[in-house]
Amino acid sequence: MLTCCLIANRGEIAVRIIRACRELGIRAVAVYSEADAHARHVRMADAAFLIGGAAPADSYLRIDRLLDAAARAGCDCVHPGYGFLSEAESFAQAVIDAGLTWIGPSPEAIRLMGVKTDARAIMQAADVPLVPGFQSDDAADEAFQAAADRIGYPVMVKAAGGGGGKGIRVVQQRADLPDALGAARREAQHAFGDGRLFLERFIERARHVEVQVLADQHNHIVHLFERECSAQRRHQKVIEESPSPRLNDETRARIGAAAVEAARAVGYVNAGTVEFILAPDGQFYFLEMNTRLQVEHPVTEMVTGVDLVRQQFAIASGEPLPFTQADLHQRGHAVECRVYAEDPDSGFLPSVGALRLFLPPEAPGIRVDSGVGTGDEITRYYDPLIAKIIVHDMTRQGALRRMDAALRDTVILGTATNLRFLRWLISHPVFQAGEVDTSFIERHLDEFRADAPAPPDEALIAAALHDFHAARTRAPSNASDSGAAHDPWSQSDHFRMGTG
Amino acid sequence: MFTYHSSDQRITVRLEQRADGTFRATVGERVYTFSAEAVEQGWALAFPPDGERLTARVADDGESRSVHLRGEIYTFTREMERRNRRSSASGGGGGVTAQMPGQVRELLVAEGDTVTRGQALLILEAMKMELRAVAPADGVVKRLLAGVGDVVSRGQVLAEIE
Repeated sequence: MLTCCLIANRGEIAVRIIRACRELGIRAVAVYSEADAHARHVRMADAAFLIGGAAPADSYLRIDRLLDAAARAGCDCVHPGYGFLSEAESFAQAVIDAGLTWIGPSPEAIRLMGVKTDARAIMQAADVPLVPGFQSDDAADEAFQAAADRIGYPVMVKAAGGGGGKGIRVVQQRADLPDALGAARREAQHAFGDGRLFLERFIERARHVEVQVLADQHNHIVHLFERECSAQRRHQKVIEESPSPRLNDETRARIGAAAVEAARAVGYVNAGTVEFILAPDGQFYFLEMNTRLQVEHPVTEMVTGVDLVRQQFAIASGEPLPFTQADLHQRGHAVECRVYAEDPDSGFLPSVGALRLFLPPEAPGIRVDSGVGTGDEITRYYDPLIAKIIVHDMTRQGALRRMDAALRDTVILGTATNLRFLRWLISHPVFQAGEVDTSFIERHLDEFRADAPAPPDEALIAAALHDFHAARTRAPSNASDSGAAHDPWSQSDHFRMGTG
Repeated sequence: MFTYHSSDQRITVRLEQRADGTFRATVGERVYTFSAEAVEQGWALAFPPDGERLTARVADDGESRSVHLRGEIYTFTREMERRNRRSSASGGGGGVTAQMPGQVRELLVAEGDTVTRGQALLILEAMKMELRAVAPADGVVKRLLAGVGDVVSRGQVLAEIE
């Protein structure tokens, strides 16, 4: 029985885990960097420990300080969330060595799946389909060049120790390969401390379909069906949904079974995700396994009714899965949009600053997972995710309509956001038809008019009301700096503000 | 009277409250009558006073104003009474500025180097992104104003090209 959990993360996922702890009666202990002293996950936790400076390397990536906080708080388990140290074998091992329960797979499984080239070899042995590729730990550029000629262009350069889209380059022609190898190697070295690369044939018009699995400590492995995550910009997922709009029942059954086999091949325990590429011809290929909770896990929770984080705690406690494969069904359709503080008008660059106002949408069938609220700061140190908006309805069409309404009702003022971009994307006929592939956004981005239209008069009038009211509340005896003293209704008793 | 700037437009808004509590607004040449009631962080408006209601949420940040209305977010600036607009000396024609806040990862050129338009000068990194600052024109790197490891803010001048 677990009683106290150290949450080695921040933001919305830390908040999500704290909520699960509350339900389970587990004490939730947060950690934070100097930049996060007032963050929501710190305010919500039962206890919180400062573990260092704003830079992740000085706080959220410091295994020693995380374990120290766990010891001081009397924790008996650690949940890593996603990102940061969630897929670091060394952290999982250190947690176990400290006598704590790790809410995740074994360090061995993390290691086997973490090195993408090793994972490919294991999947090959387990008969899980693989994209044709080339790997070698000490290959010179010439060897990659020769391999790329054999595989055929376009070819993908990927980081052996990577994930999350970093270090990936698509090379269209032979002449571009040396530059791509150099850039990918540097990015991979910096991001993962491992500059090793491998090649894979680039499958054009491919879709990204991933399968959620849960495995307990008693050799039971089930899958919780697929998530379609083909709407990606620069290899980062933007919108995810379940079920996939383009998977037939036969392929769905086969891809689910393949995911279970992939998990079994590494002795997987806890929640994980097996990612596949789905080619236009219906063939699917193993891409990688993420040995942790995913950002987009809520869509699976919405359609299966299974609380994945709660199951993670149950599995780590040694409990058997409370259901079999036959008990699991996809009910209705769920869609998730990632709302980011980024500016589509200037190439989607992060837009940092204070959230002057954040009013999340509220209606039946809408879930909002967020780690920030009005007044909170989006800093340059971390992922600029403001919120994940998840909707559920009986049909895909209904879910998309609900999502459009939810995005329309989301009020975020203070930083730029991708809300308009998300609405453009879900209303696009190709997205509506369920035919988006992973390069769709790049190909069609020029159809999106990034700049907001000129403000209508009602917006200017609202601003004028705001400015008048602000000047009045700030300096009731001297409203002259707003020019309002010249207005016939500048006396406060003439101006009824309403009571709403 | 309030004056706002949107793109290259300058728009004035004059407000007056009428005896019955409703409002009259003159936006440029256009005249509206409406009712307004304060709601959380904004206004419930009705054009005309007995017309359909809509909610506008408003936030300010210095001179910047942003308004959420009918699912759209509009951002514009308010012209303040006193005209003490900070002169934005953005480094002149040959200045290269940071397009995002971040840390300088790598310098790819040195002062005195001849560069061609579009050539990468340095690599900036922030929030899982790598961005190259490129030369805006052919020329010589006159000054490099950032070093490896420096944390720079958006708009900060990183280099001068002559």
